Amino acid sequence: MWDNPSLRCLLAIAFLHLLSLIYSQETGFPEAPGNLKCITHDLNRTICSWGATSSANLGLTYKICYTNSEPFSPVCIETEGKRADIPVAMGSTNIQITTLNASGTPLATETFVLPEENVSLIPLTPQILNLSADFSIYTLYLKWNDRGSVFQHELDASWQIQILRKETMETVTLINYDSKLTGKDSILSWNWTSDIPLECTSYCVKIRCYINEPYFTGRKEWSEWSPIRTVPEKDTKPNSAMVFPQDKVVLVGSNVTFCCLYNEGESIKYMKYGSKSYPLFRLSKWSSAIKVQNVSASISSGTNVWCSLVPDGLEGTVLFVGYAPDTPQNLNCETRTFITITCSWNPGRPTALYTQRQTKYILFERISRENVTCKVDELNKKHHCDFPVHANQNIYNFTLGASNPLGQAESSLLIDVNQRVHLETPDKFTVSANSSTNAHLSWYIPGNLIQIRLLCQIEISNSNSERQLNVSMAGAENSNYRARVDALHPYATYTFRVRCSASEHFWRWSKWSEEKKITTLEAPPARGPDIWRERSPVGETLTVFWKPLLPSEANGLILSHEVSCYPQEIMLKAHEVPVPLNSTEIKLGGNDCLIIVVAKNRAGSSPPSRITSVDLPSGNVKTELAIAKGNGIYISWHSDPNVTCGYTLKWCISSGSEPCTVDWEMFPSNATDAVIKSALFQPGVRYNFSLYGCKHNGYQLLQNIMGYMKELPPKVAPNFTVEETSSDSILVKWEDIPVEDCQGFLKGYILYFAKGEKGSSKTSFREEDKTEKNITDLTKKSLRILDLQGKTSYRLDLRAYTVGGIGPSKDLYVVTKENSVGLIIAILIPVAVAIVLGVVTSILCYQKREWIKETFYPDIPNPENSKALQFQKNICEGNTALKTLEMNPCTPNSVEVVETRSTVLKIEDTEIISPVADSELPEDGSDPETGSHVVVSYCPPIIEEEISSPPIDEPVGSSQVIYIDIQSMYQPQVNPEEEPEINFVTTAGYKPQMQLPINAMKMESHSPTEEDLDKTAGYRPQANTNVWKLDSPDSPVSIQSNNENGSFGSPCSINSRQFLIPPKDYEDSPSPNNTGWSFTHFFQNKPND
Amino acid sequence: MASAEQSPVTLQHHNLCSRVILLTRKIRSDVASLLESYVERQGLDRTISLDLVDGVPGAAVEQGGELTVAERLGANLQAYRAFQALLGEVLEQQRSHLTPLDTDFHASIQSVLLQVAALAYQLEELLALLGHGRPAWEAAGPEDPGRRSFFEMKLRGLKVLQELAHWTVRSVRDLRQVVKHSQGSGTAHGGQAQKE
Repeated sequence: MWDNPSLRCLLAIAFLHLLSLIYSQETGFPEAPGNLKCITHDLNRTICSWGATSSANLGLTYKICYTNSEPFSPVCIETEGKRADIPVAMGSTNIQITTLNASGTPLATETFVLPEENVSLIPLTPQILNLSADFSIYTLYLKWNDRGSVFQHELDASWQIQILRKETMETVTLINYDSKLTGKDSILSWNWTSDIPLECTSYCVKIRCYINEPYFTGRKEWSEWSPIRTVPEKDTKPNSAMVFPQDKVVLVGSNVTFCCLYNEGESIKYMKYGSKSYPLFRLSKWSSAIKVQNVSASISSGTNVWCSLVPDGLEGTVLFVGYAPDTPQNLNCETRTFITITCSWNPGRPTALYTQRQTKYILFERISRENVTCKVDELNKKHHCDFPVHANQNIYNFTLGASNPLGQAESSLLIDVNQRVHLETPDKFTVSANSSTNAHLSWYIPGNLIQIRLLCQIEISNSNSERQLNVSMAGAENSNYRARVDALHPYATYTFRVRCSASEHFWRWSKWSEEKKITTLEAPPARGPDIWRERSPVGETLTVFWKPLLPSEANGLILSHEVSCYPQEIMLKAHEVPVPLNSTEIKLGGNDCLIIVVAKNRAGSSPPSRITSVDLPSGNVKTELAIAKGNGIYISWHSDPNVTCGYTLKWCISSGSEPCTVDWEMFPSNATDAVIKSALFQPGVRYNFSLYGCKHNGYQLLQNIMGYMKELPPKVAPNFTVEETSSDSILVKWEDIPVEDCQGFLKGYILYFAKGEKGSSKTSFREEDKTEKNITDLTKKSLRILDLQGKTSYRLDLRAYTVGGIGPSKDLYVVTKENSVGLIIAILIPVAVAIVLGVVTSILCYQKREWIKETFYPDIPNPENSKALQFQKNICEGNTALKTLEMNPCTPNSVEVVETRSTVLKIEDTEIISPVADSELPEDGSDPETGSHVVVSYCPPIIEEEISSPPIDEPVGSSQVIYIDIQSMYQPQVNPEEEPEINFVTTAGYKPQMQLPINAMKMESHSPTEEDLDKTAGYRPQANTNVWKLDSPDSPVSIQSNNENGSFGSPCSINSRQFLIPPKDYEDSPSPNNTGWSFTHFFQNKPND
Repeated sequence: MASAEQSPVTLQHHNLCSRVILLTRKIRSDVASLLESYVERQGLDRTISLDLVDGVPGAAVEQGGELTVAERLGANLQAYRAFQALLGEVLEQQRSHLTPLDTDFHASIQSVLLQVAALAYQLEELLALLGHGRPAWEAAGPEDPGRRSFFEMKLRGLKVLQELAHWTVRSVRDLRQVVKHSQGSGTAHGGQAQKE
């Protein structure tokens, strides 16, 4: 049944129809189109696509009818696919899509209203036309077609370019690039520079587009990404390890990334830039890098970057770090030859780049549009460039371009070549002199100088002058130039040199040519020599003098002088005097003549110089003094009306033993003064001048003058002597100083005098002592100095002085004579004084004779007359000492005194030292023990013997048998406290021999007892003990003892108890207030007083 | 007395060897100072590894005592000929690429170059005096230096100077052996002459 085709077709139609019915009933039909989407790529056509419920095609076709607006009838198209291409319409489009079956029967129809907003503008996917790389500058170049022809009008387009690392597909950069579509296809290009070398890793690039149509209200979307394009690879499998970038040049301060590519099995140990290691960062599987920031200028061979590999390997590169070229400075263009223009400049800051990397210069001329490459000699630092001069072109507009791998700079200059002429140095310079006053010069200057005039400067110099001569001449081509120099001096040596420049527009002088030296030819002397003559004293001969001509006057080498004498216009004789003589002697023979002198050189003779030999008699010629002025001598004279042919001032300068050299100067008749200067004049030398007047019939001596160029102090002191001396005056005489020692005109003498001994220090006078006398009268040769002291030594000093100062001094010592009256007075006065003193002393002694006697020679009582000393014989038996007393009056026993003294001294020491003694002292100091320290220093033992025999109760006073009257005046028991109140005057004098207590005088017991010490007192001196105490400087001193024992330690007179030999130790002790020998005792201790 | 026994040829050998040794020592001294200035001017490090730099005759390659006098001197001669060319390269590279303004440095290299040339000539003379033929120049010329990077140029120059210094040491040792050998044979030869 199914084999029948017609049946099968029928069934199929029926089925489809059934299906269409079902679809139409549900949403319409299954074949009904839906989900219409429309996009446009070009704003011209819209591509709409739709879907259908039924996915089966089954020969379905679609009829699309669309209309944009009512008035237009719909346009229908049929398509088999679910896609239709319809024109883009403004506003909305009604689209009716009808699904047709194979037989053309509509199955379903769907109508859509498609507003423009629902249409998306999606540009066509761009295609990369070309992707290339410049590895040296890390730059990728991308090219693509913008397909602008798709659109009918201009549109703004944006492009998005993405660069990715190939290995990781990591985006390196994503940039937007805007362009404008022009309605036609354009190739767009874009480049990207990497901050790391492109060799370090691979990159891939893709691109997409966006059209910005402002009037399109639909959605505008990016196009699809273009297919990826990959940069040529270098890192995937390198043949050998490498470091990039290789030999790159970068600016100072740049940040540079270096990468090291290595092979499989290798790894990087370290990477160094210069000598420093940097941290590595990984770029890819076979590549790592370091980044160096702010690189500094490298040395000429560059900075090394190397990569040390594991296990073994080393790769590296060199980085050259420098600067871009500086703007050429001081650009200067000038021509030397009109063949080339040479431009030179200063390159400015060094670039630190050399050889291939160094700055290259190109000189471009804008008018001719020509350029030349300049060769730069870096080694010699020469920067210049030659540009050819073009015919018919005077203005040149130069631009000098400087470039190196890091940048470029330029500098411009506009010049008129005619105004920039700097000629070459004149060459082949020659000078020839074929006359005495001019010279011919010739030189060569290279170059085509036809179009300019030259200005050449000739420098002419000799030993004392220099001048420039400017010469203008027409320029020529590679030519010699000539010039003539006139007005040269004969027989003079000149040095020439020349330089040239453009005359009309001066720019710069050329360098000076080499120097040439010539000597001009000789000419006859320009004038006759200056002459003078001197007649001998007798007058028989005449000496003619002449001065040598100056070189400027001689005009050559003077060979001789011809001297002629014309008595009466007939030449008497001519003398030829060779050089260097400058005088000759002529015998006059009693006749005067006219002297004519001419100087001769090889070129001829000078004009003659004339002078007459006639000397007119002169009267009384005065001698005047000249004045030093400056370095010369000022001389003045009175004008003489008879002088008609001038004055001549003559002098003679002698030097050493040679005869003096005559010199002179001539002055016109109206001159009255002159300053004579000569290199031979010396300071301090007297010169004598003679002034002659030239009269019509001869010369007459008018005046003699003496003068100094400069006056100096006299060289020596004047010789002076003392002619006469008295007790109060000195007569001094001196001699003149020789003229040669004066060194100036003497103005006077100065005489200094003052007291002074010969042999004392020879210094200058003390200002307050010296006396000065100024002698201005030069005729005076002596001086009397008055008012001096007799028999006194004086120092005299005489000096001469001039205007130049005071000369040296000469000393003389003189002693004045003695004054006899004074001597007599000096003797008499002392004698008279001595006599008067003697008389007065005698009178005083006479008046005081009693006191003197009592004081110095008192009467000593005879012990034999004393009962106390009438000893019994038995008492003295067995004792030799007592036997002595039997024979003689009682004499002092010194042994006994020594023992007593030592005992007492011991006690004293104890008391002084012992603090206990101090503490036991009564406050009033009235301790009788203390007061009893006075021990009798002299104790005749015979008295002790005698006194010890009487009964104990015998009154003490009974023993005082002698001098009762005197004893009554004495107070033996003087309280120590009262002692200071005792009047020395009243207590002084004779003291009686007081009684001695027997028990106190026992020799066995020397220690003090408690008995009254007064009882122990034995023989007392005939003087007040208090006086002794005070007067004896050698008395032992004890504070407690009241110094009553002051007589110890010294032998004493029996009579006076005065110390005969005071100890030396106490000589210097303070002098006592009351001395026993003072004059007060003399006058106060009178017995009658 | 010993010199009286030597023949004039032996004496000439001896004198020539002495001169060669003297020159070699002079080269060694100059190369030592040149190395210092080279390292400084190229910014290199003396400790840098130069093992991978090829094309420079190495002094360490020898067969010890197995070499004859002729072989020994020939090896020296070939080495110094190579150094002559290599130093020329180094000099040119320094002038043209690396240190164009450092004329004193160039003069130092030039001086060593001339001494090396003189040494090669003296070695040729010595070989001839010993009756050996002069070895021919090896054809292998220097590589095109333009193909090398500047870093390679620097390393190569350093290697050349280092190896030259090593060669001078080896040469002195070799020449002393030659002197020793020639004295031995010369004395024997002299003895024979006396016998004759």
